[in-house]
Amino acid sequence: MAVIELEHFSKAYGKFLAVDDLNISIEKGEIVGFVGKNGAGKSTTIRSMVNMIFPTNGKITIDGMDSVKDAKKIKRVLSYLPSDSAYYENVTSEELFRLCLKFSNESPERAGELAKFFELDAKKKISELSLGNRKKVSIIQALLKNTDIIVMDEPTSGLDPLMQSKFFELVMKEKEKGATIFLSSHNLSEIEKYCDKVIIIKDGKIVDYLDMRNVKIKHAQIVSYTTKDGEAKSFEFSGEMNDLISELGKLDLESLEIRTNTVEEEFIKYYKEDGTNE
Amino acid sequence: MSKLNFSSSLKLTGFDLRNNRKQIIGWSIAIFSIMFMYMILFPSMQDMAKIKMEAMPKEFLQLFDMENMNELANFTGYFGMVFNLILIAMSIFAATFAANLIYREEKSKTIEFLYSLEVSRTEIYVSKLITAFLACLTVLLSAAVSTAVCGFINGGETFVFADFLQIVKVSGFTVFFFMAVSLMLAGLTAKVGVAGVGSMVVLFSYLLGYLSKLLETKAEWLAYCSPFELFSPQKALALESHTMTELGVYMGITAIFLIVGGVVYKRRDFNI
Repeated sequence: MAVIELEHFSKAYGKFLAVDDLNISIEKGEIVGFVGKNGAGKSTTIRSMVNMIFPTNGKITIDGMDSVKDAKKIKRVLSYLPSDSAYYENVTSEELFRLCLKFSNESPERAGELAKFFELDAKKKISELSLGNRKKVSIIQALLKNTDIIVMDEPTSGLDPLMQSKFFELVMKEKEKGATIFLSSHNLSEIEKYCDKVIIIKDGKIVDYLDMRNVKIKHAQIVSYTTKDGEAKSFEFSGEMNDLISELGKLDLESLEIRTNTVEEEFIKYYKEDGTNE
Repeated sequence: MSKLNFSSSLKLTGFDLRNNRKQIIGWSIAIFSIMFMYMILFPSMQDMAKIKMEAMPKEFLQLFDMENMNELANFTGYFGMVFNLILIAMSIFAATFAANLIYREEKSKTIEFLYSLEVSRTEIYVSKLITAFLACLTVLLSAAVSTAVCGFINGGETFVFADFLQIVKVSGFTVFFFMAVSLMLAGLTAKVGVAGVGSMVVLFSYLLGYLSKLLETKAEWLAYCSPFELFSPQKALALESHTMTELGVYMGITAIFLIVGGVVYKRRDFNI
């Protein structure tokens, strides 16, 4: 059974259709990446999942519950990390975590452990924290609740590489525990490294759905070679591998590289300036 | 559909009160000081102000509800005149404070944090209502306490505690009415600066009350648009049956405003 399901989900702001007829189904225990350039509809989709905004059409179900009717019940099983780490400037992170703990059954020690793990001084006021440290507050706040579903909107933006790796260390631990994770990110290499599936969205529509476990089979290979007489060529190939090898065998090759498209290349393919996706 | 969990609202209220304590304390101290400054000078104002005010145009005195000179001779009457002015300031506080409780959450996007907690939109709205109510009550009580202290010091026989309390209760309702107006506006939308709109409603309403007096029989009906006029300290003191009816109607309108704001808040997109 799908843990997160979007059926014909659309969201319009006036006449502007931000998300158009999205169908997404995420199984339990999966880490799914959601990529697209700014304004593609990622945050709109995520905010609709957590009932910050309402769908214009279609339905979103989280763990079998309707995102609108059961918005409060959903929060028992879902943690949300917003893209903007916006907090009350004159309170400390500790006070924020204390408020979070009032609404969950987690032990107060967990906040301290997470703050220590992310090297965050929780006694400092939000106004005194850098962007990166505010992001740590967001991450801790989201992971403070022990839930089965975690939805994160650009969780690593603003974090230094060390903290990004610590963050993914925690994400993988949550996955091991059986959590389902849905995250949007602009960092395509991390998406490729950690996600089981990747959804690419453009102008409010899904343009590709990559299953990273089968990506080599489903997606094109990039073939680059140089012949002994100096001819260099690079092309995309998505046919039978035997055909490719027999064709390449006819050439007098000096070097050959065959590799799978990276998520970044797939992404760029859809976002070429001319808009082609061939 | 989940039911309203009052204790969730109270947890948020506690957080909101701590978060806004500087503003509430600041306004309370300011209102306390202004009232104290006016009321402690009651004996000297009794003579001085009367002479100066007699020289002023009637319309000017009407604007500030000071047309009845005899009131300067007794503490409760004098309090009524001063309180009518302080009510404008307190109503502006109520309108801006209540509106900002909802509007700022969305403008600064802190609503994403708040609504990620296990609370419903209704519980957030109710928490804002309780916070705004307690803040307005604190500011109103600071004016009342300040006056009572001065009344016991220099009010003498003209300080009638029951009358004073009646003015605070009836005229003080105006503050809560404008709080409700702003909460409703913020519940309806966070796309415009609702605090400014709320303050304009306060001033416009005061102006309508003034015009109803200035134009007398030609536009008496305008008074119904102004709680400043309907529940002025003079009318609160007299407390005739029509004032009681008007108070009841206004309380009903206040409740409707709060419900409308809450219902729309529950169903609209957060402006983030």
